[in-house]
Amino acid sequence: MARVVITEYAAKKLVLGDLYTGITATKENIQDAITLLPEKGIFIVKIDVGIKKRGKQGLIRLNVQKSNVGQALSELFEFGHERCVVEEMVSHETANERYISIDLGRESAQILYSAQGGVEIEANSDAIERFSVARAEVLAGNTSLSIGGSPLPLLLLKMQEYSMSFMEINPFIIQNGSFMPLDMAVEVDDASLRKLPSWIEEHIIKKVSSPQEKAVQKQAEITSAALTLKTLNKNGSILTLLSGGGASLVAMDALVGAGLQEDIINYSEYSGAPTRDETHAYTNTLLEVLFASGSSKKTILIAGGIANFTDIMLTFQGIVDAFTKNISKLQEQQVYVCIRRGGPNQEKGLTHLRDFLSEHNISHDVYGPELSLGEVGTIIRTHL
Amino acid sequence: MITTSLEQLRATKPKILVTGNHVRIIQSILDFDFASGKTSPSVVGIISSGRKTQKLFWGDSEVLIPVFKEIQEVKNKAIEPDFLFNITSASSTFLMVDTFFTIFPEAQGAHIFAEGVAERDALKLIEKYGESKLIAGPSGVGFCIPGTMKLGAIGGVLGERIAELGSTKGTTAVVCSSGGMVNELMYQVVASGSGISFAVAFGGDRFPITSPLQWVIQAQNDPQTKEIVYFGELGGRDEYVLCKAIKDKRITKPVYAYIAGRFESKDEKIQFGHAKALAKEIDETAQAKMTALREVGVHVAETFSDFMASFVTLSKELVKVAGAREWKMRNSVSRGTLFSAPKYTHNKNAVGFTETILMRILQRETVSKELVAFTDNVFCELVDHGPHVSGAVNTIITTRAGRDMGSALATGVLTIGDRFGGAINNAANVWSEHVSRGTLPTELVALYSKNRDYIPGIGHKKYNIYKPDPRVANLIEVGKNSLQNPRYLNFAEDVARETSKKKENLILNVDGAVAALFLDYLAEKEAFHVEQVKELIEIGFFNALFIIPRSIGFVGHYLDQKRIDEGLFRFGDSDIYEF
Repeated sequence: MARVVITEYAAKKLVLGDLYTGITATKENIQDAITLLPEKGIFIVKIDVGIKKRGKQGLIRLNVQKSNVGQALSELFEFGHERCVVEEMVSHETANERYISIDLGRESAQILYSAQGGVEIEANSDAIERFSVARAEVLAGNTSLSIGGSPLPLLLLKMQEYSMSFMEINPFIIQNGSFMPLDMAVEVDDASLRKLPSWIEEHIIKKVSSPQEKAVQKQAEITSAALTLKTLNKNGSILTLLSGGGASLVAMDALVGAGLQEDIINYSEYSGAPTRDETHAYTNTLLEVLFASGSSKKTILIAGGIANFTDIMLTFQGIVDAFTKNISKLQEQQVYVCIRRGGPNQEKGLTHLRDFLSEHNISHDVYGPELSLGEVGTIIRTHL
Repeated sequence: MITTSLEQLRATKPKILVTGNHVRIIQSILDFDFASGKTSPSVVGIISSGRKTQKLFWGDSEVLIPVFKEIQEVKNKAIEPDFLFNITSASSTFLMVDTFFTIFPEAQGAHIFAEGVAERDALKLIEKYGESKLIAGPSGVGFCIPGTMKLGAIGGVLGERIAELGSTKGTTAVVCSSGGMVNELMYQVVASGSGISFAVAFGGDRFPITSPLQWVIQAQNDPQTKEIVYFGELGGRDEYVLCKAIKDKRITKPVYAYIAGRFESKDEKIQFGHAKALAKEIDETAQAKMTALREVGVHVAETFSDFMASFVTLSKELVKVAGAREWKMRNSVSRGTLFSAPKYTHNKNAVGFTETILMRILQRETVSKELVAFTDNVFCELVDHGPHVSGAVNTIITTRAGRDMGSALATGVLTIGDRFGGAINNAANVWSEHVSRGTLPTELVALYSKNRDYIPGIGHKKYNIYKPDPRVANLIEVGKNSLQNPRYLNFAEDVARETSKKKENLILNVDGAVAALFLDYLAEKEAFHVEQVKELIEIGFFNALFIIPRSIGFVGHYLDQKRIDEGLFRFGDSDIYEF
């Protein structure tokens, strides 16, 4: 999965530690969360689920008295988001707002800095200065580079300590010599999540919404295989079942190239030799998405390159298992299936699937490596 | 600067060490080697646990590949691999790769198979090895030089394809982000009538250790390569570095490219399958990168089908690898043998019993007459030690219960262990380890007494310094008469001198003496080196020096009891304390 966004609360807590006094609240624990706030003060209440430009969307409440924090939270939760952050308001001059972002790169970390930060950062793009910190310094979590009033060494140290790959603070201010990030977005490397404090788990922003996406994500967490589902157009007409990180992109390109971008229901990718049972469960979930589509035409594209060592027969058996379970719906909704795949045991696997589809009167085309992966789009198009 | 040159590699036979055991992929490497006409597999070792060898097919016959627990053991065996194929999990990848290059600093490269290697682990590897080693991955399927080396699953595991890759060299380099697509592209290049000069899946992670540009530079510097087929994806900016190199004329060979991932959503930035496959900024989109490549003269195909079609223009020079085998892949139902064993040969030379035994158990064709004479003495001393000892007692009881010779012998043999007769191997372990470490006898004694432990090979129930064990005295005399420099014996005797100061029966016992002397004979008369001796200890060899002769003693006790036959044995009431 790569880089994942964490909540603003988590980002600030990791970087500032005990100096950070903000609290995090979910719809369920509003009352408990409020008790952690300081006695006095004026507060800011923000939706905290990785959404940008919250101010413009009305997802922030400013200048909230403590007695009104509960109500502000309740109001914001009406928007349907899962988490909010509450902090003390810091009064300051807009002119003192600074911007900094740090992006981990191959040779160095790229740093953007502007003395004119804040909501109008894009309007003041001329003020943005670029710097870089060499890889060795990034890995050491320290640097000799100094930029404006930014605590760059501290930020690099925390990024190293908590496996952060990207950080954007807009704005931050320096008040009475101390660094105060007012808004902050951080991406952490998901390959390093086990090195982070366990409470972070609840603060990772999950970009899933449908029950099927959640089901696939849950399945992916407990297998060594890679399983992905991303719904693009729930009322589209093409369900994709694609194998391999590269081949799945090529198959999507083939559909886009055939002018079918708007018809694609989903992006999916399964690889890393999932077992027959895993493939069965995964296909089952994907079929739910297909059956729920309001489109009158329905097709399934099962495609991949020529596998190096994934057993085609084994994965296709899993797909046939799922098809068997859903056979009446496949027939009722007159689903067409197009297959293009190669690799170990391809003859057996392709024949197995072809025989099954013929036997159950499901219209289909089954191809091996003789058909270019780039042609699947035009074939699907003739069935829409 | 990566100094590895593909052309130089083609002139050698690169050796591969595999960390982790993925039998099917390793088998595909051996199939490739066999097809290319090599006389032995390129895989010289596997790091894994629970076994010492992995049996694989070598053509239609079979071969045992050594399995080691740690990379250091490979070095100890004087094996020098040139490449690492790392199949361990993402979390142990950094340590494995770093350990490999620390132990084998001359090695040229590696393939990291795991997906999900931490970004910072990849950056650490780039920092340490990025400018000196050729490393494919993390993720992907490795790289392949037809006829020379298949490092990873690249090219698949299917016979026909592998035979083709092993035996035919072409002029097209395939440089590809994706493990699945590299195989697809290699297939399509070959299907178009062209051939592969080398192919690599550099991996779909954000930070491939050897960068796409570094791979393309390999292709540029490779005299065998005429054209470069490049497959990239949306996400990252590696292609701009490539563009610059082309603009600067560092890359002059024709490049045919495709950048996958043209699907763009209006609402959000989508993370596709590979870690890098997300276009956060506009210049990271497939379209932007294709445009940039086109501007510097790369043949960029608009669709994947066009990309495939462009392969017809690749040059069609195919060269048969010298010495390649015409080989039809084993039938897929062919199954390996169930057991492995050295070939049995009947020894026609009339040699004595002890010599025959030593040749058999040491797996040697000749054994020095000095070792034979000594072992003969050992066997004579150890055949029997009377009916009082545990093994003999069990044999006697079983015989009196009316059982047969095999059963009676078995109960006697089953009694042998750490406390009775089975301490020779442990003693050999202690003498061997501490002599090679240079431990002082006093230190060894202090170490064991601190842990309140017995030293194997020291102490006897019956004999003591006032009443020495005559067997030990005899063996030591035989040894001292034929050995020039009995290091192990001297050490063992020094240890016993220390222990017997503490208690009179803590003398060098027969197990300890046999172990020490046999070690001396192996070193001095049989030229065994430390690693070979270590292996003997590991497999429990030294206990054979007791089990073989004493089995004869047990047979003797069985026959004695049969002759007198007193009927079933039973303890009397006064023999057992019941509480």
